[in-house]
Amino acid sequence: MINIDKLKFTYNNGFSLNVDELDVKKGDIVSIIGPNGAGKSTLIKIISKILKNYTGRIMIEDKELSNYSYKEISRKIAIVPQEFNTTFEYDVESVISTARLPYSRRFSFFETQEDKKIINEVLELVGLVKYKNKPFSLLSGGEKQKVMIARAFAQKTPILLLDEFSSHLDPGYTQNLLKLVKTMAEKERKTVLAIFHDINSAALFSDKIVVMKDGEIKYQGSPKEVFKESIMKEIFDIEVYIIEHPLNKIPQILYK
Amino acid sequence: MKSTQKQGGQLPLVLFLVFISLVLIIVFASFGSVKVEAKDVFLSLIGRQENEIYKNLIVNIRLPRVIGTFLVGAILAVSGNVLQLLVQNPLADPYMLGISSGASFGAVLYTALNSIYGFTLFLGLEGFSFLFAVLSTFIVLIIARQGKKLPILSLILSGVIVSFLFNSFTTLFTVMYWKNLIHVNLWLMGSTGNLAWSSNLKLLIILLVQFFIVLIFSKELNVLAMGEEMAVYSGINPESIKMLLILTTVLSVSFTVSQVGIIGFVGLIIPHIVRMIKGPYSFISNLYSVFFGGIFLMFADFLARTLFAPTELPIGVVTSIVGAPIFIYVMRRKERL
Repeated sequence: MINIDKLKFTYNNGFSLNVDELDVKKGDIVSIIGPNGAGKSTLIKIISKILKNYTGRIMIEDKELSNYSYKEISRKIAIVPQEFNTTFEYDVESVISTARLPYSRRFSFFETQEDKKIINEVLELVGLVKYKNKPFSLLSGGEKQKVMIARAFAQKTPILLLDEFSSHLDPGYTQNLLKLVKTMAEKERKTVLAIFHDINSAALFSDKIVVMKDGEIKYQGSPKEVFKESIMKEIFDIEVYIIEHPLNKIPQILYK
Repeated sequence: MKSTQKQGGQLPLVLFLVFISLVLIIVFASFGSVKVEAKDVFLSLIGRQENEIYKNLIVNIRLPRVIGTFLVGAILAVSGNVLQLLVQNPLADPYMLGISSGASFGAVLYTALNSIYGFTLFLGLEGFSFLFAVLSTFIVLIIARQGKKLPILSLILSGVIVSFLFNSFTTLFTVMYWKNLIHVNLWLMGSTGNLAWSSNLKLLIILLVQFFIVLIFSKELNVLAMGEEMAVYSGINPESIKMLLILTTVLSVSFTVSQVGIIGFVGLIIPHIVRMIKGPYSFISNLYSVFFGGIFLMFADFLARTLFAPTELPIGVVTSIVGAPIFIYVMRRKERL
């Protein structure tokens, strides 16, 4: 679904991203972890066409990313950003309705019946129907991210990119939203690439973990393969114990 | 904000606003140094006026001015709304891209060349100020451009810088040749007094084209008002839409300024008030900006003509004096809600 080959990208400040190889198969849920400044967000921004001028190859469903127009790629990839707010008082419904733009035709000024139906469905999914006409900027941080998840689902794309979408949320909200996204993604067989700040969440959330540092992928594999005390020490410079989650047998870390 | 306010269900209110605007055009046309009954204005309008002096006064002097003022107010308000949404800054106004400073400089330059050196330039004062308004905006756009992108912050900054530059030249010229330039400065403060049917027709075409373009791109403008990354997520190339909307706005405002001088405050406060009442949804807020902007400027012009008649105040002074308190009131009221 996403195949990256010898990707190189350099910022003006000299930081460069070098991803030799990354393959995400259809229906996979893949997490990226790594310290601040590892290039995780840069990678997501390149895949979502916000950053351009990269070299190398990025194939999205067997077509090179740069050959997609903005509109075409927005029918393939939906994004939940780290944080989102509006300057003006747009209501929740109009924020979600932007996800239907990839399918709208010129000279259709208002949402179609189908758009409205989808907007109602995703609002129900995240349990925010009653906020439909509330100004987005007045919602709490957790509610905003719920809306952004609903928005991403309304976009009806095979690929979902999550850029640390839960890093500003309390543990309850985080767990709730992670479960929601995972259930929905599995149900619709979406391919998910997610950045995580919280290492344990990443293990619970995904089948495969990609570990990045200094603009490169250092390790990738199942949670069991990459959750090693030595790797955590090398990547994050932290002392941890690795234990097994008593319920689902997934490795988790404990701080020493 | 009810969802019905976002989309359909606007027709009754819009028809009401059209009706109000027509009534106000007749009412305001009846005031002036000679008071004419509203009835006589109406008769002239439908071609039944028998008093030739009245007919001439109303059809050739009052009506073009009042209707032209409405058009100018509408263009400035829509432009202000589009720019505020586009740069996601409620403090933006149509002049932020250097249009006003460029236009002033053009006008001053023309007058200086004309009255001091006796050059007669075929473009005239209006042509010169239009050209320099467009020129200064292009300089702003070129400075602000980074590669293929037009970052909003650098757009605002270069707008400020280029404005300062042109304003300094204007001041320099004014100081050097103040005797010849006093009447330009008056012109610059803005007046809709010279609007004739011919320029009104142009203003009408501009308003219609501008409105048509923002109508076609209203969804895109909404998304851009939520941020450029949101635009990319939604499958829109932010740069091309931004450029198109900016160019439309710049050309409309530059032409308007060349006809009536610099009238401030309309493009800043009317979009604000409209969005406070109707929300930011671009189609709706642009539609209401047309009427609110037009009616507001007609009212300001009415005050400018009548308050100290027969002396006329510069309309820009009135828009600020009337506009500032309204603005403060709306803002305070909003805070309490």
